[in-house]
Amino acid sequence: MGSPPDLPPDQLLYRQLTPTSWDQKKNRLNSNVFRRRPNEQGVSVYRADLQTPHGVLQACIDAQHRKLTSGDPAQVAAAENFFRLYGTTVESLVEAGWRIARVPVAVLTERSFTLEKPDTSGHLNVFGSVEEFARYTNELSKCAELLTADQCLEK
Amino acid sequence: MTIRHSLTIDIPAFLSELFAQIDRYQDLGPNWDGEGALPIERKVVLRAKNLLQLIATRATSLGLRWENPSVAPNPDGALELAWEKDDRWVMLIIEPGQSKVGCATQEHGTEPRYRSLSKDEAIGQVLWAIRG
Repeated sequence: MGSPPDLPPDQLLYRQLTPTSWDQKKNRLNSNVFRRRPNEQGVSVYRADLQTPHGVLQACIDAQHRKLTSGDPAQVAAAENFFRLYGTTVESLVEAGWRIARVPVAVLTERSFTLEKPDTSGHLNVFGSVEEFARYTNELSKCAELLTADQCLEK
Repeated sequence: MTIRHSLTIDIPAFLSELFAQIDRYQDLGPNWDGEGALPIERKVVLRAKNLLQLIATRATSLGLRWENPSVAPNPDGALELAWEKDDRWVMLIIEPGQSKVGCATQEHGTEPRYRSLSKDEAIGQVLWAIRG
């Protein structure tokens, strides 16, 4: 178990942050950045060698556009609410407080979390139980680096 | 000093800004995280405020120095309250439809713990943390 064999421990991962994931007055991450939902497979991250911070946020926007055209009223309403809150561009998301956290893969694997192989966009899930993520979220958040607004806009 | 708040009870002034922040989370609506997050319901907001008021009252009566926790919504419609003082950290998770409170704690050099606790037990954990 652990990271895929070809992944060095200093490999960096990106995790997208909502405006509520970090303290905008103190410019630091909240302790709940690495929490897993019970209905999800794992915690969603991107490989930093395969995706840019801008690309991570663009992928989030693209997902909302897919919801808008899904034909499912609940999904459409969800996407409309997202765009109402944050706008429709990466720039507007960053302006609204969206950010990216950067964390080395070893921080996760040293705590027995495991990683799947990334898809072509660099996206992958980090696996662990809901309780394990709740236990370790403070440590993981402390090991992660909060990128600046300018860094989040890097393509 | 106390101020009148929408809960129609007197709350300490040091909680008013925090309560206003919590109130704003009710306006997020669904999908606020882009991944289908649940909205933060009024019941969860009221439970969080009630718990905070109880903790603040107990801490004050014990002569402990109060510091507001960091508060954030989570995608399951819960509110998470976290305190950290010196080497101690505690995070309470107030989830919709749950009478118990999720509680993660850690003290420096030890493995973090996660438990589901009663309200009184959760209050005790916060007091333990803010004693430092």
